[in-house]
Amino acid sequence: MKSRNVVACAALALVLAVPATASTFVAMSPGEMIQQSDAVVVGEVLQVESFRDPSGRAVMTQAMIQVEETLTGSSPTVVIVETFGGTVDSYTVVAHGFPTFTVGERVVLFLDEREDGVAEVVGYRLGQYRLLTNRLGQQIAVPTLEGGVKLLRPEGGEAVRPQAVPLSTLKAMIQQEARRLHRDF
Amino acid sequence: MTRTTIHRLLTLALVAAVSVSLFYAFVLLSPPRTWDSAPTLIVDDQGLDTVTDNDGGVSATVQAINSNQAWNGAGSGTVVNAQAGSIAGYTLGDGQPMLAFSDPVNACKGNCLAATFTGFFSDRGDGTVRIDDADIVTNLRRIDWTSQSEDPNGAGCNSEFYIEGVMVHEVGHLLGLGHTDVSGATMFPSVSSCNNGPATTEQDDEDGLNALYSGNPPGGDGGGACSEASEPCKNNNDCCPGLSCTGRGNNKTCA
Repeated sequence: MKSRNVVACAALALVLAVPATASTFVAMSPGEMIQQSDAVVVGEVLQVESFRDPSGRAVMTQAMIQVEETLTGSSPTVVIVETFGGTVDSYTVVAHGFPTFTVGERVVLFLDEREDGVAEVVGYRLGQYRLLTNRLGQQIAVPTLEGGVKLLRPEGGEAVRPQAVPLSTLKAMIQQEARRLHRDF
Repeated sequence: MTRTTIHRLLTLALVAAVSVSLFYAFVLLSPPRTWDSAPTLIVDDQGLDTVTDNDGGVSATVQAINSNQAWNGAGSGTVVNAQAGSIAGYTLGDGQPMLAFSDPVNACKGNCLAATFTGFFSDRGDGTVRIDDADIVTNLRRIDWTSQSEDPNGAGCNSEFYIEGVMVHEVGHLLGLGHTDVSGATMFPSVSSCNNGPATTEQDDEDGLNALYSGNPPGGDGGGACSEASEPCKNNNDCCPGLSCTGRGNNKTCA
């Protein structure tokens, strides 16, 4: 067997061994995602910090995002995005199915801004894509929804999961949907 | 057909077989994580309004989780102890596992139906991590629930979901299991209404649990004692590590 085939088989095995997680969400259409978002942005994660919330009952993480482009809605140039889970004093709380952030990564985020100015990701991981560059130099938006997350259709049964697409395709889809919904962009 | 072509086809068949065996089997959360001792899970004593048995499904949930038809009968001894109680002190990472029929930390809203949090310190040094807390929050107002007490074995059930089956599934996550692709197993990621099948674990579920806990029963009660070579068994889970259950009918032994 050629070495290329060995690599392909190893990659296949890795894909099949993706970690599972343990939360359940109802699928949302692109239109629902945009309607519930104050903004959809492309940005880079500048800083990530985890902490216990003021009540002490939850471990939270805030990520500072440098907004490179606003695809629809309005957004400041730097956004603070909050999610559940994180590591505090070497103790980790995994919030299965919730968005996570790594400094330096580029992301597409559907954001809902709270009254305190901090934003949350709409639809949990349905509203988060990571940007990767393929061998042709093309930007690819990869959904962060893990294989093990249960994603149900509102009427019952399992939903079709979002797929990786070129960033240009995702942008066009978002802007077309925003136009249909008469949202600014 | 040339020898090279045959070789390639055989190789592809082997890869496909391995892939299928990987895909159609239990999945462990990554990194693998286990409890040192059987956790005591506090089940929200407020129950659910839509379950019209005596206590909103609380007793039904506790009994289902503790049942020998579920995780505690899977072959690794007592792995979880559920009991009804107050979740007033609900805190992520406090070492007290709780199952809330609500969302005390306001984490699961909108399109979230149920969220599980597992808490742990860094690994033990062998690639596994020690869970010392796991909490479940729910956003269950969107679903109509029932229990075996309300609708025994589906009788009277009308597009409702059994709380027992869903929560036994969630406890599987709490113990360190992910979703499986084996349809009908407790850890299969989908269930239809009026089906309480997930309240009873299947072989795939038991294989997954025993992969985590066999030989190291969290409860330390000896319930996970395995059969040595030549000792009787029902399936592979009964045999000590490295042994398989062989034979037919009532004459199976570990070898």
